[in-house]
Amino acid sequence: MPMARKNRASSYWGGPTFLILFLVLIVSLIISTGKGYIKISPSTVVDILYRGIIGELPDKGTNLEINYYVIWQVRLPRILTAMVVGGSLSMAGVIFQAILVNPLADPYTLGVSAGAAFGASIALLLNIPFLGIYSVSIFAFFGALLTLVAVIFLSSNSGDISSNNLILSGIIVSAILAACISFIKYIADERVSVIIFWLMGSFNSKTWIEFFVVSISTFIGFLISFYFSRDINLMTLGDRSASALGIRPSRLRIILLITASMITAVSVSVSGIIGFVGLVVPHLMRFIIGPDNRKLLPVSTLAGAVILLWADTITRAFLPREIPIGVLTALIGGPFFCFIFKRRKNIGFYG
Amino acid sequence: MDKVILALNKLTFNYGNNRVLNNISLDFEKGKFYGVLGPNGCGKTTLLDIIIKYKVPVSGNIKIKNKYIKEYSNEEIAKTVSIVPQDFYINFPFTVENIIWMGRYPYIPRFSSPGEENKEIVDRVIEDLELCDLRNKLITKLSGGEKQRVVFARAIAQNTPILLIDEGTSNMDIRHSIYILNYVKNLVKNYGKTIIAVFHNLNLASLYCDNLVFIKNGHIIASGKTEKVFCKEIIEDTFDVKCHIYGESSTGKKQMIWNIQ
Repeated sequence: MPMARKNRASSYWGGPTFLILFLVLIVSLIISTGKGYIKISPSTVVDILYRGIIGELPDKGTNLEINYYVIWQVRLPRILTAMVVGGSLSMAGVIFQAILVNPLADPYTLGVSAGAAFGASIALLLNIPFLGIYSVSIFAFFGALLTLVAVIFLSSNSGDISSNNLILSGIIVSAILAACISFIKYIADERVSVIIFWLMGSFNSKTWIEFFVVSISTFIGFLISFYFSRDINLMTLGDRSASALGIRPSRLRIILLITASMITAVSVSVSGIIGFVGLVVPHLMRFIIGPDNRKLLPVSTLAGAVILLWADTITRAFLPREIPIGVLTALIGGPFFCFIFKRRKNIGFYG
Repeated sequence: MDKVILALNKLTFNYGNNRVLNNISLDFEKGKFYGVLGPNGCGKTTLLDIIIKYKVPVSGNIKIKNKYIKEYSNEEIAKTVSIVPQDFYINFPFTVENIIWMGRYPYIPRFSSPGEENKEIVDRVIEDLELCDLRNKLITKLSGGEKQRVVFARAIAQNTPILLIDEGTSNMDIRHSIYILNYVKNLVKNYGKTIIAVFHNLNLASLYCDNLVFIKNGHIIASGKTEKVFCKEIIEDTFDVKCHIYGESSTGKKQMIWNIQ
């Protein structure tokens, strides 16, 4: 068995696995930054990254100067945004699976994505100009937020929030929103392609502003959820046992539900709906380091960053034509998930 | 002097408009094994839920060691009461040892290493409850009875003065049931623990409990020493089924059989 005797609490953040993933992430970042229409060698990439960090601009008119701008103004914001979104979706996946006590949950189970999609569709349909280029993101974010409020309202029952109620409410609200989105597409005429394109997700032309917004929300979300990571282990035992172990399950569920939904909402607002990362990565990492959320949370965050970074690099630099990243992750993630699910089931990893 | 460790005073609880507990007052003494008996939906589990502060009664109050339960912090509760719940379904592939460690969480500050003392307790519980072979197995791979033994061990590792057991041996075979009940009975005798256990098997309750409480429709039908209240009238009144009582000579404990006609 893979996980024998590794739980002696010596490393709460994932130890070696964490370090390896961190290295992989750095190397991936350097390789990916060099790929694209203009090829740049890894050593040049490192040089340019270093110059950028210490604030030394290359000489004017040189090849290095072009590469410098390609990297710092075009590629890095996009690559880093993809990384952080990947990390935040995986982290949200871990949290949702733990608080809903359901390994099949993902960041979109409660309808956050449907809410964001609905908000974005409205903004795209009405072509709202007053918030500038960020109007779609802002509408998406508030769509997600309102959906969360509706789901919590629907599922709360005299102060108690059970995971089954949450999942059911999420399904109901998502279904209604899906119908609304279909209707918007129906009346959108030629703008329908814009809506569909947004819904499938993309990191195309992301800027530093988007990177900073996602980073801040991801960082805050990580601090909160990592603080509670041991408590969420206890949720596995059921609400009764968790109560007797000093946890207030309903309160904890609400805190983490809001945390995870917020980071998901911000990610979706920035990048559109990217599926399967938040479902597959936590599963994969649970298989490697076990289900202890103290390790699973940091390790999944890193792994999600690596995976989405590569998914974006593939569609950006390797494919003859860019395909929407949401489609790519589902095409790769789906079959892969089937594979690990089938294999794990055979040896009894999941019930 | 003060032997009462847990005092329930006029507890009332509703689910919506449905009254589940009606004005329940009971005292539990330190170092005794209590059995709670009653038909489905009579309020047994709700009673335990209130004691672990999982549910808050509509009216009435609870004192543990002469202090109102409201004044207990979550952490203090965790060091005072533990529960073996009725459901033992665990959805994530923790190892058996992982699960038992969870019983020690209240004693270990967040983000610090567990220390030798906790490790010894976990090792001892694993050994005492014959879980050595299962120690590194995944909980998701175990049978129902095995899972229940692990969940039971988790509660014992919490090492609290009060242990609540909600049908905690329902899925175990008879040898494991008896083994584990002997084990906790020993905790009562030698370590002064107080156990409050919900039973469906009345004969097991009679064999192990010092006192019994019979509950029906949120009311206490009878409560007192086992040899006094384990009788035909009370059992028939509680469960609405006819029964026979017979004395078992070697232990002096009474046993019953249902009279189905």
